[in-house]
Amino acid sequence: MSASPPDAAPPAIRIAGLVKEYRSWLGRRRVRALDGITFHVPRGEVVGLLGPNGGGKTTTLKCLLGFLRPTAGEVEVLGRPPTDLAARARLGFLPEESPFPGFLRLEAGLDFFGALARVPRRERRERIPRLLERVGLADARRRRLDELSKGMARRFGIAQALIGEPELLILDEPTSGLDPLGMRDFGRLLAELRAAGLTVLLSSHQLGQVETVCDRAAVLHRGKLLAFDPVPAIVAASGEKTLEAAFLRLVA
Amino acid sequence: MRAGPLPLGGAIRLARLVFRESAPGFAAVAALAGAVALLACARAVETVPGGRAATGLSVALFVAKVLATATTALVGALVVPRHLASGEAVPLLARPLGRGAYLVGAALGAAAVGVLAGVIPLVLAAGALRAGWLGPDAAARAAPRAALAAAAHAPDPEPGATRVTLGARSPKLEWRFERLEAVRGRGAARLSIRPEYVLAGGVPGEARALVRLRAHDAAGALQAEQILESQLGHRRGSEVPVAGRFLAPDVARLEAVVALPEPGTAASFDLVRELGQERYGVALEAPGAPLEAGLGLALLGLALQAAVVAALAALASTFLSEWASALLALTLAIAAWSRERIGDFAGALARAQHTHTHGGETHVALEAPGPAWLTGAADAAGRALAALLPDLSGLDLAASIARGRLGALDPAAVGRSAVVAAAALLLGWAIFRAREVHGGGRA
Repeated sequence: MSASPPDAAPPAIRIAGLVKEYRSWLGRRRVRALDGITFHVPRGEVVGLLGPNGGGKTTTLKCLLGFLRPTAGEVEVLGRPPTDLAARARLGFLPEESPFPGFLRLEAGLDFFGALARVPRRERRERIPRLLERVGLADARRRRLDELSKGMARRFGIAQALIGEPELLILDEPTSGLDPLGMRDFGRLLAELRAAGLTVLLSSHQLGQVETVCDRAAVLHRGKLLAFDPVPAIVAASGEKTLEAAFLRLVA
Repeated sequence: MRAGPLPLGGAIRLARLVFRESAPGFAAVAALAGAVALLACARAVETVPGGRAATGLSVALFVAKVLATATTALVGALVVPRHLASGEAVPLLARPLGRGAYLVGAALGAAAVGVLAGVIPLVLAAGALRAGWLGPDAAARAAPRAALAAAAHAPDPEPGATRVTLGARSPKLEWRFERLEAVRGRGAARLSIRPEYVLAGGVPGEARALVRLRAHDAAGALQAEQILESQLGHRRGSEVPVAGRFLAPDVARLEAVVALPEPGTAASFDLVRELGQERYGVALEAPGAPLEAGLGLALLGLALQAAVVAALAALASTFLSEWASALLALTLAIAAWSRERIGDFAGALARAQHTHTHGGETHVALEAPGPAWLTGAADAAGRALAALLPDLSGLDLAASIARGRLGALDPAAVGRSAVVAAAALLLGWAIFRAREVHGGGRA
C-alpha cells in the first residue's frame, strides 16, 4: 500500500484514520462499518472503490459527502470538510439508487440539478443538450424521469452529476442496471473524463471495468482497507492475472 | 466554478420542487385560472355586502383557513421524512444547498401548497358571488316619480314601515348601527337593509320597498331628503347608497324609513345570527371594501399563517416520523389559533382550584379537578405554551372582509409569529444538521 505523492494542492480526497460505528438507540449495539481507513485520492486520477457487499464502500462515500459523521478520523474533500458548501459546489455525485423527482422531465431535471449546483442559467442551457447527447438520452429529453428504464435513469444520474462540471466525481455503482451497450458507453465517458483531468472515485462491482479505466483501486472488506495501490500493482502483488482474481484472493 | 446565487436561491428552487411534488399540475392550473376569474369577479362585485353574501363569504374564508392550515401542516411534516426515506434527499443534499436552505425550502413549498388549497374555496366563493348565488344584495335605485310623491307625503310613520333613526343614540338597542360619526366625512356610506324574512301573500317571496332618507340639523330643520326604490327578497336585502350631503358635518340626525307599499307584503328586520355572523336589520355602514383588495388581503393572511405553520411542521419533521410530525404540527397549529383561550383556560382552571364563592364567603373549591400542584402545573404549562406559540389569529385578515372592511395586520402578532417561525426553523436546522442521512442503503 502506498501513500499519495506530495503535491502543492491538497489531494482531491483525504481520508485519515476514518472510523464509523453505527449505534443502536442508547448505544447498546454497535456495528463498526469502517475501521481506521486511510487513503488519499490524488487529483486527476480515477480511483475504484471495491469491496463485497457490506464492506464499507457506501459508508465511505456518505462520509465523503457529509451525510454521516465519522466516529473518529478525518475526511477532506478538495481540501475542505465534507459539509463545506464551496467543496460541494465542485463535486458531482451519482447515488447508488436513482431517487430523482419523477415528475420532472429530463431537461427540466438537469436544469433543476444544475441550478442547485449554482450553474448560471445561460450555461445550463448550453450544457444540457450536450450532456443528454453525451449520455445517450437526447431522444428522451422530453420524457418524465419516472418513465425511464433503470438503465436510462442511471444515464440521467450520470448527467446530473456532470451538470456542474465538477472537479471531483463520486459515482456509486454507476453501471448498475446498464445494458452492455450502456456499460461500453459509460467506459468511454469515463475515459473522456480522465483525459480531461477530472478526479473520479468509482464504487463498483464491475471489476473488469475498474481494471480497464481506473488508475488505482481501494479494496475494502469488513470495514478495513485491504489495499490502495495502482491496479497493476494490486494484480501483481496477488500473483493473479486479473483484478477480479486478485480481489477474490484479497477478500477470501 | 463561478459563484452562484445565495443559498436562498436553492431554498426557493427546493420550494418549487416540493410544490410541484405535492400539488398536481392540474390543481395549480385550476388555481391560476381561478385567480384570473377572481380578479374578473372582483370588478363585477366591487363591494362585499352583508347578509347572505357575508355569511357565504365567511364560510368560504373559514374553509380556506382550515384547508390552508391542515394542508400546510401535513405537507410540511411529510416532505423531509419522505425525502429521507425514499433517498430523494441524497442527490439534493449532495449539492451546495445546505441543510438550512433545504429545510427552509421544504417549509416554503409546503406553505405554497397550503395557500393553493386555501385559494380554491375563495375562488368558489367569488364565483358564487359573481353568479348571484350568494348575493350581492340588490342596489337601490331612484324611486319613480309617482312613488316618490306618494312616499314623500305619506303620514309619518307610514303604516307597515320600519323607521330607523340614526344619530348619537339609537332608539332600538337590539339593532346595531355604526354611529353617524363613524362615517361622517367619508364622502359616502351605505344603508344596508337585510330582512330576516319577506312575506308576499303570506309566503316567503319578494317585495318592493321604498326607502326614504332624511337628514336634519341640530334645530330639526330638514337638510336633505332622498327616496329610493328597491326589491327585497327573502333573506336577500338591499343596499342604499347614502350620498355625502347626508353625512355633512351639520347633520345631527339621519332618518331612514323603509316602507313596503304593496298590499299583502311584510318583512322583519330584527337582528339575526347565522353561523356566527350577525346580520343587522338596518345598518349604516362605511363604504364597502373592494372585493379584489379584500380577497388579496385574505390571501396575504393565509400565506403568513401558512408560513408559520410550515415552519412548525418543518421543525417537527426533523425529529419525528412523518405521521407523528404531521399530528404534532396540526396540534400546534390548532393551539396557535386558540392561543389566548389556552392561557384563559389554564387561568380559569387555577382560579377554580383556589377560590369558590358561596353565600358571600370564599372557600377553597372542593370540586377542583385535581390537586393544587396539578392545576398549578397545568396553569403554568398553559401559560408557557401560550407564551411560546405564534399568534395565528392576529394574522387573520379575512374576518372583517365579510363585513365589507379591509383588515389590517397586527404588527405585534406579525412580529411574534415571525420570531416563533424563525426560532422553529433555527431549531429545526440545528436538529437536522446533527442528523445522519442514510437514504440509499448501508454498506
